[in-house]
Amino acid sequence: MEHTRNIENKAIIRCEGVSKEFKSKNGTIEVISDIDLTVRENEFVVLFGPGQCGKTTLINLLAGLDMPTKGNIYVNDVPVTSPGPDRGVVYQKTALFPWLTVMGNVEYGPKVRGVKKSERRKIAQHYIDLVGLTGFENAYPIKLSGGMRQRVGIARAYANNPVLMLMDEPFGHLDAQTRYMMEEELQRIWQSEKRTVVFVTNNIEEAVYLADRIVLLTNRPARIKKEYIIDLPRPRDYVSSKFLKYRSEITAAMDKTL
Amino acid sequence: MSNNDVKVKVTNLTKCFGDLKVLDNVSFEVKEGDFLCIVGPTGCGKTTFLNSLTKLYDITSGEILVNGEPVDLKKHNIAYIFQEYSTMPWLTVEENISFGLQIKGFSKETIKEKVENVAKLVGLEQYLDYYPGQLSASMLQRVVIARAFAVEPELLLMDEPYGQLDIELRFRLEDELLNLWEKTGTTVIFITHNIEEAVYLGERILVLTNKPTHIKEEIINDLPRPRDITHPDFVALRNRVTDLIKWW
Repeated sequence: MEHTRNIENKAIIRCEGVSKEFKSKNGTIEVISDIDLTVRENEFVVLFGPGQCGKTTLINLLAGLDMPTKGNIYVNDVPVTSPGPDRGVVYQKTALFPWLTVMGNVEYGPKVRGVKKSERRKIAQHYIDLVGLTGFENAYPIKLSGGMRQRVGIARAYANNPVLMLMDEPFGHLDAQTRYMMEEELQRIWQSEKRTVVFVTNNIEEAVYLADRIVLLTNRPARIKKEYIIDLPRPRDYVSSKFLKYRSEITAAMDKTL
Repeated sequence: MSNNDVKVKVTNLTKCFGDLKVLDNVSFEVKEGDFLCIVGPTGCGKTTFLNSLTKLYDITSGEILVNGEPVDLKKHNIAYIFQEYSTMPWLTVEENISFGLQIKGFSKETIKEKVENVAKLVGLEQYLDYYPGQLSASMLQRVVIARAFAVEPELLLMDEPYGQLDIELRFRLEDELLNLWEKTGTTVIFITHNIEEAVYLGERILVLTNKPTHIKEEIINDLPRPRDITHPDFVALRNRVTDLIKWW
């Protein structure tokens, strides 16, 4: 299988005994419980679990936006203590700067890091082309559809040349058809520019379509319930019998939320 | 077929916004007790269509009849579930669910009973005293669904109600909707982007074209229920509908 050939042995993420608690007036809520997870270079890992199970919290910990209560997280063997350009984040709500054009948004990271204009323009243009937004460089986010905004978000994350892409339900609020299109696009982009990706979703079709490996989480507090290697050639067919079999199997194993 | 069997009759419906023609001469009928799914490409005017039906928009030309009369929201018991979570933030879950029942003047006891039943159906019985701001998005949508079910509508209009729910909850609510539909005989018009959902739910599927929107094909879906999304016949029908609308 192609994907196994492309996954290098080097560990990009190591989570060791990671737990996260939040204090509220009603006491302490444990959101993440004792997660051990290793993600290897160029691996596409999907964190899959029921709504509100703590997936976003785990992404925030990996991004360095929040710190674990217990345990350690390493990216490229360096402990995560703050956000950094080595980790690109694509959010559910695109969080684009509305006062910047597509180009302005995509080149923002390199600009802040002091990359000179001609070079950062070249980088930004490359990723704008890659996500299929050629011709929209000077458009403002308000003029773009939901799917196009997510493309900008993906290009912006890529433009920092991160070792790790963290994607938190990036297609969650798109309609089903636009979502299919974006999944096909993301898989094409990832095939042409391999990165290590951790992708959060509660959509099983999306998970099976994109993942090398699906990490199934329990209902809150999130623990790793089971892992599935998705051994299907790419691009995948949403209605092939093997695809549907993975889908049914993983859906059945998922914790009930009600 | 006698006229009494027709719940909704749409004739030559056209809707323009200024120069933009969104609906172009759309005609069809929905029979009493039917479950009609409407699918079409993104941005094709599905929501405009439903908003015309409920008179949220004035139509440009054509006619919409419910039970053989022009649609009248005072007379016809129509419930509408929007894509957005249209809960009233200043009311508790219980007050949100009972809102329509109070307008219809049911007694306190009846309202309490109906609210409890429907809250149980969607798994909200523990949350009746909560305010919408304290609930997750998926729970908010369940409040809205409960509010619509509570009035036992003769016509239930649903605009992509499950688009943003996680799949396990979506499956469960789809099955509950089917259960309710079979029990009550409510006529349902259900709009979705999700082709699998349309094939799972619908007795008939109306496939719309891109703008200006007209009906591309009407498909009778007689797959036996409960339907199995992995069955070859199901997959074949899903592929057929996908081929009709695929733009991506």
